[in-house]
Amino acid sequence: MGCRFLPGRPVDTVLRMTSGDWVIVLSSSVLASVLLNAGLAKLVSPAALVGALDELLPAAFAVSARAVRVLAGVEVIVALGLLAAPTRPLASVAAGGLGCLFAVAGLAGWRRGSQAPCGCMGGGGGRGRPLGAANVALGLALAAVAAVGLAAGAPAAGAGDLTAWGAALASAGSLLLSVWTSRDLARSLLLPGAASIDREATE
Amino acid sequence: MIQVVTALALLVLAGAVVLLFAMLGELASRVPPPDGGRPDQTLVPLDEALVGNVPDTWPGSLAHLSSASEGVLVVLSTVCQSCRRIAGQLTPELGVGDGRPFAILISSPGRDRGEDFAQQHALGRFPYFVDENGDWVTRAFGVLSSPSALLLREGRLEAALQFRDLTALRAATNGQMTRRS
Repeated sequence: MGCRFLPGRPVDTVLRMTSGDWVIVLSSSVLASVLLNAGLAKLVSPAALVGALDELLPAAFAVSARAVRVLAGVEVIVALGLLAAPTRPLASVAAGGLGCLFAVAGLAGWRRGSQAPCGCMGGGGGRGRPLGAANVALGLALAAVAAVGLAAGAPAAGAGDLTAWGAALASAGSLLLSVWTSRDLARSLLLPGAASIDREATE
Repeated sequence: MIQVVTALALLVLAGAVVLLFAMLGELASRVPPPDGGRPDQTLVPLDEALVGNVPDTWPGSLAHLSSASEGVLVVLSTVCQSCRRIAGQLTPELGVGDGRPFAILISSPGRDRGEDFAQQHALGRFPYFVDENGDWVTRAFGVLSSPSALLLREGRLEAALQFRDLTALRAATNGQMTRRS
């Protein structure tokens, strides 16, 4: 008996996971962290993305808050799908597709010089960066990570092993991302004197 | 099996915390300032502004600012919430120009939306210009944020300030212009 990485999880079974398994676990958990965060944030605050897309799309293609919530729901479902072995390949393809979608939206915002905060990753109440280069980079990174996860092929370890590690790492990743995206809010609550004017978009 | 259940429980907890953070953020954006609803008096100089710049061309409705010894251009946007509030507060008596020529620039993704914004807030009482995508104000003064006020002297940008409260802006513009006179 040695130390345990997870409750009831002996070291030797963890060590049996191959490097390919770890690639799958890490890629799935990274994707799931980002998508879970983005999805839950948009479920609560769809207005920011509605405003940002309103800036980019012609009036005839105006996006509603309900449509943004549907997208958010898809992100959460894909995030959960990445953590279960049977749905992982399909969810990886979907995550890659979402990454490409984010990159296209970011490119459109970048080219147009968008200034409306998109609330893509949370932060609450329309805060955050507008659609732009950061979304292009994030979208392409998501697509690349999804491709790497798919290319890793079938896992050698048991499905339960990968799900457990994927879920644990995705939990940690989501929490860290959430704290990072809400850092201004946390700062203003903990240090009220530090609160300053929030910049809003010109357009 | 127990490991999977434990990890999934952890994931649910993490999701709940993420959701809580998101809801806190949304709530914070809806709650008035802690000082009893008094608007934020802070004025922030816009770092990106091209202070000292004189535009090559001026839109017709803003042309009077190009030759005015002192003038104020208020930059609003159709997508920012503060801009809606401020646009609703603008009255001839509460004009930020305080006797000086002033005008309003409405940054908008389309002319129609900009005109709608002007109509909704009765901005037709003031000289205003709908700047599609903020192209002109970005090119002329490098300004990307709203609501903001551009203090001009003979068409030259003297200062650019982001603000949330008209009274604070008036006090600041009066002080700034007086100091520079």
